[in-house]
Amino acid sequence: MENKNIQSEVEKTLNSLSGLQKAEANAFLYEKVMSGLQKSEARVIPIAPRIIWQAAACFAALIVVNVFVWTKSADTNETSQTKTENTNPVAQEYFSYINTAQF
Amino acid sequence: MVDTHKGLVYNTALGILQNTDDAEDLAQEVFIQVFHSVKEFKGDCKLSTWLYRITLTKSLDFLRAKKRKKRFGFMQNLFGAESNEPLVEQVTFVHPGVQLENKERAAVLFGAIDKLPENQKTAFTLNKVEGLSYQEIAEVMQLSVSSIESLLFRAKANLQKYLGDYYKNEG
Repeated sequence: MENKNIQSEVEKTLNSLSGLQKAEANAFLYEKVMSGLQKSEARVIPIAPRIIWQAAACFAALIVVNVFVWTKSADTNETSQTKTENTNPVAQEYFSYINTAQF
Repeated sequence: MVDTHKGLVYNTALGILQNTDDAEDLAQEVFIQVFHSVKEFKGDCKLSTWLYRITLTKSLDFLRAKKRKKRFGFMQNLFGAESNEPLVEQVTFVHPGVQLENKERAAVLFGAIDKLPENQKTAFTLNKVEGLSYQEIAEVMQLSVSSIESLLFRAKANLQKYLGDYYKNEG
């Protein structure tokens, strides 16, 4: 195709939307929207703000208790470790005595 | 409200999506969102402008999701997984409002519009399909009028290039 012809085809195509009519939307769009709204509302479970606050408070309390128990258990581990360290020389002496008594 | 503005929402979605079924589904989604977020409408712009914004945002999101899905399908095909979707979707869209003698040309033009970058496509569709003025497009797209003029100029230049290539290959 010649350049001149191409240009004229392009121009005609670019102007092909002149006099464009509006497309008709579905006549039952309103019904579709209403049914969609009912579906979307059915999915939402309404929860009272009081219950949300109570749940949040319970969760916070649970975290505090967890931290408290964890720090306490860390302390207990440390003391039990020190106790074991203290009893070790006594146990060694006891076992060495048994060993010498046998042989 | 649905009856008053369904034409606006449906036609805008149709111009962007170029598919009647998708445009209908999207129009439904737009009105559901409008119902849920009508409290957020502060009245600082016209209701129609607000509706245009919601419709455009949703339409462009829909197109992006569709493109992602297409890419994923292509990757699946590449790695040997079976997919029912065709690799290349050749769809020629004929707008229901186009005059009979222009149907063929309009289909070619819509094909070219689909290749434009998002903002050029939006501005061109609002101008040529919805018949909005530059000022109205600027309000909808929240840009200056000069930016809209520049967008439309670039859109037209790109369309001339795409169509020129198309008719060269045709001939």
